[in-house]
Amino acid sequence: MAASKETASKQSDKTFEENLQELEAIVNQLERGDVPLEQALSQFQNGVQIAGKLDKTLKNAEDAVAKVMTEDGELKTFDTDKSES
Amino acid sequence: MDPSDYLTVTALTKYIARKFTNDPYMQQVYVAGEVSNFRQRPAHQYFSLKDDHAKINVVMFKSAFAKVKFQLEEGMRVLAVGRISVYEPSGNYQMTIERLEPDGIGALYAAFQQLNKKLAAEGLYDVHTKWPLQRFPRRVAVVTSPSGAVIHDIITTVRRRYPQLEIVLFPTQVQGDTAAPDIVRQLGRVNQLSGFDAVIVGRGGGSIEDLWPFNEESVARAIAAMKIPVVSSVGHETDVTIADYVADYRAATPTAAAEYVTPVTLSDAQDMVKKDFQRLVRAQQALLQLQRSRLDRARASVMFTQPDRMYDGYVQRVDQLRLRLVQTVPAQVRQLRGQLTLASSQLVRSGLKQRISQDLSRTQNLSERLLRAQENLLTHYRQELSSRSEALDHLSPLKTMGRGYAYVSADDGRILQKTADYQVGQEVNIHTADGRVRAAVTAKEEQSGSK
Repeated sequence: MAASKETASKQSDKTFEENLQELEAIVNQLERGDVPLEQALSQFQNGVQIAGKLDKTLKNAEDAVAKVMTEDGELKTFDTDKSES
Repeated sequence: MDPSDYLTVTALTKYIARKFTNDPYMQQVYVAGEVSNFRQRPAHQYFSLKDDHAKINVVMFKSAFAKVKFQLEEGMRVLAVGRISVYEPSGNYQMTIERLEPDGIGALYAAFQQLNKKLAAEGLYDVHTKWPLQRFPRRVAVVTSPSGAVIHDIITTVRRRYPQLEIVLFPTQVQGDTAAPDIVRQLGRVNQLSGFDAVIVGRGGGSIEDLWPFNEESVARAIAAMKIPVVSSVGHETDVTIADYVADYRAATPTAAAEYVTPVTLSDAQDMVKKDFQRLVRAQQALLQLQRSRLDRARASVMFTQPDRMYDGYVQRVDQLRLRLVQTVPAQVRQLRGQLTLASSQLVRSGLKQRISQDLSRTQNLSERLLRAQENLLTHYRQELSSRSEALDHLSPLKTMGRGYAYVSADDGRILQKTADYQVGQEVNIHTADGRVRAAVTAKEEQSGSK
């Protein structure tokens, strides 16, 4: 089950969750302070980059539009206003 | 009879009415029947209860009707509790209903309990089989009616909390006989399509019959078979269906269902990233500070401030070694010199020199003898050689040829021995003791008998 879920989210690059976990791993490692300086510097850069990417993802992400799956398997925009009446 | 003895209609009706009201059985009757002529009115409700052979008018006052938990419909079988009275203006008797329940609820309830027990025993409700929800889902499927409040509430809530989440509605029949198969079909479609992080299945509030599709075994099994987390939101908070038990999460309302699938709101997520970033920067600063102070400590160490000290130890060792050298070497030289002197005097005393001169004269003597012996031997061999040479000379063919013999050879050097070796006309060489004669063969004659 987990495998199919992963393949579903693997298409592009990493998911938000994976990026966030990586960032947390970097932070935890740096906080322990037992990383060689060269490695710490590159990890820090990596961390800053990931944080920026995550922040950008959240800030710039367009609000998703609600869709409806038709019987033909087509995705169409779901008009919420019409459904209320 | 005097006309005054006749009863008025009103008096008679009052009498009849009193008969009804005085009868304890009439004051609380339990009637099962089918709803007829029902059309909902704003306040009090007037309709009939009937079965195959009879019919009775009923009235249900606003206060009693407000307590009915289900949607009353034409043709519905109901269980009514009320009293019988007479409506004097029309002379009709009627039933005033105080409590009303749908008939057949007992049968449905029994079915519900049976299925509940069966599925629980099968382990369909077990918590450990349930999937965890994604913290940052991308797409969530919703299996519900396109026209209900459910989808509307879900969309509104998701937009408020985590607008990036895409909601995909699978329009589904959620009421009536076709509802269960339709729910099963749409859940199956969701299961087949990948890319959904969770699915919400549900419908709005209604009577137990309305919610019944969510108590169907087929729906329960379809939910259990889902490969992604299922959030159920069926009816109102007080309604619990089998679907709710089987689902991974049961939401009391569609809004709650939408909250389940958006466990982290957008602003929470932003806070998380911000906090991680701050920790990152702090950790980096601390790390740099640590390394810097280590560097400073190293720089401040004696080695860098007073580098001379580094050689202190070596200087001292060189001094000590030099001292030992000065003390030990001359002593050893002295000792060796003593040994040499001693050895020299021993050498003189041992008469070695005399022995050497003796050996030298013996050697000269032996060499002379050796030379002489060699010369004698050579002379002997030389004489031997000349006497043997003479003997050899007597035997030589040259000597024979000196007595007049010759031998003949062809031009190719072959010695011609027999007559057969010769050919007439051939030129041959005749070898004499002092030279060679060139001759031609003119004739040849073989001696008979000699082969």
